[in-house]
Amino acid sequence: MKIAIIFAFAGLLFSKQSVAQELFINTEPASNMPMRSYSIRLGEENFAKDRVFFTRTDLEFMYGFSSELMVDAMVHASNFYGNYSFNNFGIYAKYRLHTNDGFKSHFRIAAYAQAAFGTQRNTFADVELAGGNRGLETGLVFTVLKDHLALSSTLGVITLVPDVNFSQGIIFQKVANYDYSLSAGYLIYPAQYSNYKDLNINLYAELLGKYITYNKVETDMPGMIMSEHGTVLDLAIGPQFIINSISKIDLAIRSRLISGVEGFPTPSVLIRFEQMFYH
Amino acid sequence: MKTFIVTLLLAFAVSAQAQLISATVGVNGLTCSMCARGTEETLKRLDFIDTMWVDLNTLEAHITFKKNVNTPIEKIVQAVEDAGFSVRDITAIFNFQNQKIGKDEHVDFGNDVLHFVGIDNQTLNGPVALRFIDKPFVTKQEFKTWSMKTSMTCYKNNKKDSCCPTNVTESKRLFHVTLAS
Repeated sequence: MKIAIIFAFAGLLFSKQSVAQELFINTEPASNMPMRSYSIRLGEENFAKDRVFFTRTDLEFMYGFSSELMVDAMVHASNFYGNYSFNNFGIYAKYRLHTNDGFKSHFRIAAYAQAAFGTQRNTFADVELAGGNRGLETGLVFTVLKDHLALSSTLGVITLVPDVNFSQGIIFQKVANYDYSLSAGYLIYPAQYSNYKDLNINLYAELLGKYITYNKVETDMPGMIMSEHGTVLDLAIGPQFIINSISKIDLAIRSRLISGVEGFPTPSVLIRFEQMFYH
Repeated sequence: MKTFIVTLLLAFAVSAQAQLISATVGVNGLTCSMCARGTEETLKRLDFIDTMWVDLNTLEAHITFKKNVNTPIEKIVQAVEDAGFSVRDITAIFNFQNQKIGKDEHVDFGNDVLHFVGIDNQTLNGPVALRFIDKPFVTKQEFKTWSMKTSMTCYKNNKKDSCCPTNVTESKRLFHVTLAS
C-alpha cells in the first residue's frame, strides 16, 4: 500500500498538468520569505498510543530579516510527558547561500541552524528537538524547482544534546545524530491561475529520516555501555490549502517505514494554520 | 590627450527630460501564487509606484508610476530581490522630450544612468519603450549579440568601468538599454 502511494504520487509529479510547489509541510525549502514580512503558525501534531490521545501544540513566529536570512522562533507544549504543559522553545535560522533562478525554475542552497531549549527527556533513543530534547542542529537544504517538480533535501547534524533520554533503568547517551529528508510537492488545483483568490491545493510527500548512534547505559550496571545505532524513516503525505495567496492550511499523516530505533509513535496527524503578513 | 578623453566622455553624458510611465518586469525563480503575492507586496512598498498587478501565469509585474516623482529602476530590481527572486527582464515606457540619443550615449535618469546600446543617432519624443539588456536581464545568446554592438567594457563586465563617462558616479546605478522592437 505504501509503495502504491509513493508510485501514485510520483506519477502525479511527472505528469505535465501544472507547476510545482515548494512550501513543504514537514521541512523548510532553501527559499526564504520576503524581506520584512512575517508569518504566524499554529500547529498540532497528534497521535494515539495505548488508547491515550497525545497532542503537541506548536506556535511559531517567522520573520524575513533579508532576502537571504529568515528566523523562526517557536514554542511547544504537549501532554507527551504528563499533563499538558510547556515543553521547550527553539530558534531556527536559515541563510540562503546559493541562488540560480530561471523562468519557473530555481536551484537554491541554504544553511540552517536550530537551537532547542527545554528540560524534557524522551523515553526512547530518538532525538526530537521540536517539542522534546534540547540541542543544536545544523545543516544544509537543497531545493530544485523545475516546471512541474519541486524537490528538496535536508541534511543535518544534531549535536550538543546535553540531556540523555532515559527509560526504566536505561539511559541513552547520544553520540551522533543525522537528520535527512527528501520532499516533493505538486500543485493539483488550479490548473491555471486567474487571480490571488484562487484556492491552491498542493499535495506533498516527504521522506523524513534520522540516523541515531548512541550509547545505551543500564543504570543498575553503570559499567555496562553498549554502542548502538539505527535509522528511523517516516513517510509524511498530505494536502495543503492556500487561501487568498496569504493563508495556508497544512494537513499531513506521518507513518513509519523503518523503525531501527524507537521514536515518537506513528501514525501521527499534523494540522497547521499559517498566516502571512506584509508591511 | 587626457583633456580630450574627458571632453569626449562628457559629450556622451546627457541629462534626460524623461518620465517613466510604466514597466513590465519579468520575475524568475517562482511559480506559486503565494510567492507572486509576496513579490507584489514587496514592490508595493515603493512609494513611486502608482498601480501594479502580477500576471500569475507569465510571472510578469505590470507597473505604472506616479507622475513627477523620482522613479529609480534600481529600487524595482532590489525589491524583487528582497522578495527572494530575480528580475528576468524589464521593458519600460518612458515619455521623452526631444531626447537626443545615439550609440553608447549615457543619459542621466534620476539616480540611474541609461547607456544606449546598438542604436543609431536619433531624437526621442513622446512614449518610447526601452528594453533593459544588462546581463541578468537577457539570455546568454542575447548577451553575446549585444556585446558585439558596443566596445565599452562596462557592458561585458556588467558593472561601471573606466569606459563610463563622468556622469556615472559612484552613487549612480548604470543600466544598459536599447529600443524595444
